[in-house]
Amino acid sequence: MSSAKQHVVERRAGPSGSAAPGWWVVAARELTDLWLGGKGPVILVLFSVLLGLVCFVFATNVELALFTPKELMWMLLQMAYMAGAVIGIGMGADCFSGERDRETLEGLLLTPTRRTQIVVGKFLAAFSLWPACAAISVLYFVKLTPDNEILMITLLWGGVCGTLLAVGMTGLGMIVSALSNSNKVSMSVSLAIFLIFLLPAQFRGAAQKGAVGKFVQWANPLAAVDEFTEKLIVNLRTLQEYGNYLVPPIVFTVLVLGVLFLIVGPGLRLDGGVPPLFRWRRGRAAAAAAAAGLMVLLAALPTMAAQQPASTAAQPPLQISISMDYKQAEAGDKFDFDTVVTNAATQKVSNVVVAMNIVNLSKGEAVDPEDWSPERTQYIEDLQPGQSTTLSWKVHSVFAGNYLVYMAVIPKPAGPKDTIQPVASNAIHLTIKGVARVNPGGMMPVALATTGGLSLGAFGLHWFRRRGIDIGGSRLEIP
Amino acid sequence: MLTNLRSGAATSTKTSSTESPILVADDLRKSYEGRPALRGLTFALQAGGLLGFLGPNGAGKTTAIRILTTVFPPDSGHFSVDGTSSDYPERIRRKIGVLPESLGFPKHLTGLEFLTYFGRLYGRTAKEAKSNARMLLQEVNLQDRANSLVRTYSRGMRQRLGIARALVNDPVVVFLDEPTLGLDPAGQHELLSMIQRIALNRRAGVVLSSHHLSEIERICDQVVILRSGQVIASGSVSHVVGQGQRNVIRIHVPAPSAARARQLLEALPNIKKVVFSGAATDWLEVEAVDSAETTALNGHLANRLLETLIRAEVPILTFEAEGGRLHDAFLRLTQEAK
Repeated sequence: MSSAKQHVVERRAGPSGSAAPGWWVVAARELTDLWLGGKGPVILVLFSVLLGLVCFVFATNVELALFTPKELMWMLLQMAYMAGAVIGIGMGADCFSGERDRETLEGLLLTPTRRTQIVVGKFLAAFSLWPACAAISVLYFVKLTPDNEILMITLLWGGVCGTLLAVGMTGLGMIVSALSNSNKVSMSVSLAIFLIFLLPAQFRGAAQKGAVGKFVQWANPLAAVDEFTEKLIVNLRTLQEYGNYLVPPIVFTVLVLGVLFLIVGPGLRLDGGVPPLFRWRRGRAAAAAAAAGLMVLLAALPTMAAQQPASTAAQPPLQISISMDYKQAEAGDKFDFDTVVTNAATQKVSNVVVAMNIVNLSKGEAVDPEDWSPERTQYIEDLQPGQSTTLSWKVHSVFAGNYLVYMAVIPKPAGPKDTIQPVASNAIHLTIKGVARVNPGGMMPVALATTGGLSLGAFGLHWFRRRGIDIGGSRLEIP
Repeated sequence: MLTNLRSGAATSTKTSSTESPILVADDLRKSYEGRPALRGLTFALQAGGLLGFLGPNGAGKTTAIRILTTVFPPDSGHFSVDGTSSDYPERIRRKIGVLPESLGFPKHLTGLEFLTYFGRLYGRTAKEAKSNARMLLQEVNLQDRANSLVRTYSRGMRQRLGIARALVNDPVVVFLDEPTLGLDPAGQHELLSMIQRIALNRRAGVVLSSHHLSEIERICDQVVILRSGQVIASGSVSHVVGQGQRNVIRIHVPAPSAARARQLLEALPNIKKVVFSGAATDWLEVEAVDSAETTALNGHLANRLLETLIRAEVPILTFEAEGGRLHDAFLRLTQEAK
């Protein structure tokens, strides 16, 4: 063998050492492009400007001053996860069709790296914007929050829901991108799909009621996340009560990732189009079946939770007492009290509803207790003759004013032609003093410092990147 | 001159016929929505050999290359690279290098980063990939621009970088789809020389697709001519040139002498006809009767024609045997196949 040929053979013996897996190499390259190339920092700055503007409006707009701080927290959270979803679907939509337009996809597909690994690497890079956006949002939440409990709820469930939406939307954008022949098509289709998700919220009020309307609202991951986070943050409801609203975003995300990594990824092609759906291997088929099973199980939960026992009990007289006569508080304060319901009759009472009512004495109008308490109503299943039961209530003082809080005990009528006499408790006279709401002087430094810091960081990254490049080359030709 | 070029190419890329081929294509077929794009491509390429794909636009050259590089699967037929069957596309991709017709470059990368990235995708460690990238940049004479952004490269530099990227895994076969497209003559010459060096020094088989017939003629030792997805000629360049050859000699004389020259030549024995070439009034096409003694490249016939015109004092501006070049063979074969 000649020395030249020997040299060739040696070189073709293959690389030595432990090389990084393909998905990591792709992810590292894409992350570098995203964050050092300038796009990532610019998006973060824009995101920060958006949050800053929203906070500024919250703090200075007279109309918005009617909202409580926790409502503003929720609105800011909604803005953050919606922006995260839009960024995710946009980044995903550019992944493959953008490379097709730039004619760089063929080079990537010609390497021995598996298609799925390429998809995983690109997914990680496209998704990387959400954690950064979430981290920026935390600064605003910390400044805006009325108390630590609301902050913790917002961070925990906002983080969970925002991550689910960002993952799902990024994956959805990537699926569209993999199947699209051009970036224009990919971006347009992705935007249209996103708008379809927003559409049910624009239906007439009547269309959002009823079984179908409620199902559409529930099944839509964006609407479900809205409902879930609002109930937990604004109305202080519990996970047990509204946990079923987490099902749609989980199902959506699992489904999207399944399609992306099991079907679209392995079938990724140079020229777009639908991959062969039925060339499934056993593993993929099993994973798809598991995902479908999980979806069915999760979808059945709300139905099971909605089941309630039926009963037809009589409605004898009842008595109710309350543990508090008056309360003076500041807006944002919370307080607890108890009520005792007693069955003064000689027969058992079943299916009793105890409802909280709040009247604004200053304005002479009823207040929706849903905004004031996680327990607008409570339910007593059975009450034996002479038996009493104690119910605990929480009230969150929302607005300044002069209020009466009282409870009504409402037994169930015996039949369609029967009626009952609700029994009212004494009232709690509630006087709430106003407090300073969102502080413009406190929000603006955060908004300006965050945006300014990010801009400086972006500039620094740009400078760091340019430092290692021979800029003199640009003298020759800039196409 | 033709003989010199051919022998030059043969010297630079000569292959041993005793070696088993490193690229074998067997009856490859492909259709797009029922329209056939490739109909039965069959050939074999030796290590260090240079094979040219020729054909008009839409002939199926790029489809053939995309099938052979595993970008598209064939509808039927098989191929193998260095003994690896086309049933294992990922293994094939480890053994081939490709410069696609349209290779885009990430705009934020330097040449060095670009090659390092692809080296790592082929399983090299970061250190190995970087060292290999520097070596490749030197091989394609881009070492001075290693740290410049690729977007600042000229067209020719990008093509050279694309070739370096095709060599990043020390491939057994290199596919180059229209590598000289858009380059100036000097750039074309430089690139073709580089391709010859690759075949010679690396002992890699090279499959080259080009519209420039002279390029194929200059550096390739095998050629496949495609038309509408069908192979209409294949084999060594000299064999294909012979296939397209007509028994015609073309003579350029001053227009005032053309009629007299035509008369003189028509009077010679074994001459079938003498006609003006197209609308020209100063180009004559002399077609001899088909026989072993009167082929267009046969010196006796050419000498007799020249002698007749010189004796009659007719000035001869150009004298050439039609079909003696790949260009003529290509035109003739592709027209015949219509």
